[in-house]
Amino acid sequence: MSKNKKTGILALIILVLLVAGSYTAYHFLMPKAMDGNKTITISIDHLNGDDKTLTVKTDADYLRGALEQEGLVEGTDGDFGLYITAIDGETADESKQQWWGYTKSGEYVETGVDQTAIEDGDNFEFKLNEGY
Amino acid sequence: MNSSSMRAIKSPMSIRELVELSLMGALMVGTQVAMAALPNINLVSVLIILTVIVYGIKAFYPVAVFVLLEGLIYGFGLWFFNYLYVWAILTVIALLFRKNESRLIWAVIAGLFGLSFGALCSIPYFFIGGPAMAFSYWVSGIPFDITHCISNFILTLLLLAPLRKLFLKIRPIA
Repeated sequence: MSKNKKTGILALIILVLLVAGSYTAYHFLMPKAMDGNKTITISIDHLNGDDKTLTVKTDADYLRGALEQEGLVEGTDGDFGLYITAIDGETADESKQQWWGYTKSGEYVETGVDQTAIEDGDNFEFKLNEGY
Repeated sequence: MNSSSMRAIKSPMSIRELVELSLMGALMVGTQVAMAALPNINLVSVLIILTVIVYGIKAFYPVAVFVLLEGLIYGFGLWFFNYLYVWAILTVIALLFRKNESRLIWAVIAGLFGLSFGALCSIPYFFIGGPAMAFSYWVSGIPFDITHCISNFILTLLLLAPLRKLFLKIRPIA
């Protein structure tokens, strides 16, 4: 077997291993959503003091689905998914630097509502913040 | 980079080369658009490797044509930042391996490039949203990277040798 052929086969083996490695990484790292009926709570902290906590039953895989199912969210679709403009009828006033943010059981969430997978028993808190 | 390719970039381009390189750029765009319905399956990598083998460092011209026209066709979105460097990276890698005659090694290079495409494209997101954003961008694109890898490997393995033969028949290496 020529040296070139040996190098080629070795390179091919490395490529196959890398593909297998990537597939494994995808399998383990991709956030998974549970199927079936899930019950989550969504707390909403309005600026006008009209706070509420809703218990939501949903089959949605991601938070956006649950919010849309309850008609709680308005927003515009952008490069990073849904940009929330209003929650539960209260619109964030950009001129007053208001914005809707949310946490999961009090913890900061890295992802938008399109990418945040939901599981049974999750608690989400939405808050209308003022000031950037 | 060998001395002949360094010389080539300094020498003025002949009209024949100008036309041929423009057509290579047009082929990259044309085949990409024609195959756009198939996610991440395209001939661009094969054509870039072919252009490097035949034209050396001048392959950067059709790659620039391709990138600019893709921007004009699809709109200059965030992805355009990726295009500004990913195809140039492939061109540089191909230039480094220009002397390689083994089609299997070329196929592996194209496959590796396809597999790392998502990781390379996640770089702008690192600066926009930090490591977490770049990482999740990469992870969620892995199935597409694997398609890209396998299709690049097969297309290069099957098409590079006959295309190279055809091109060298039409036009000997400068």
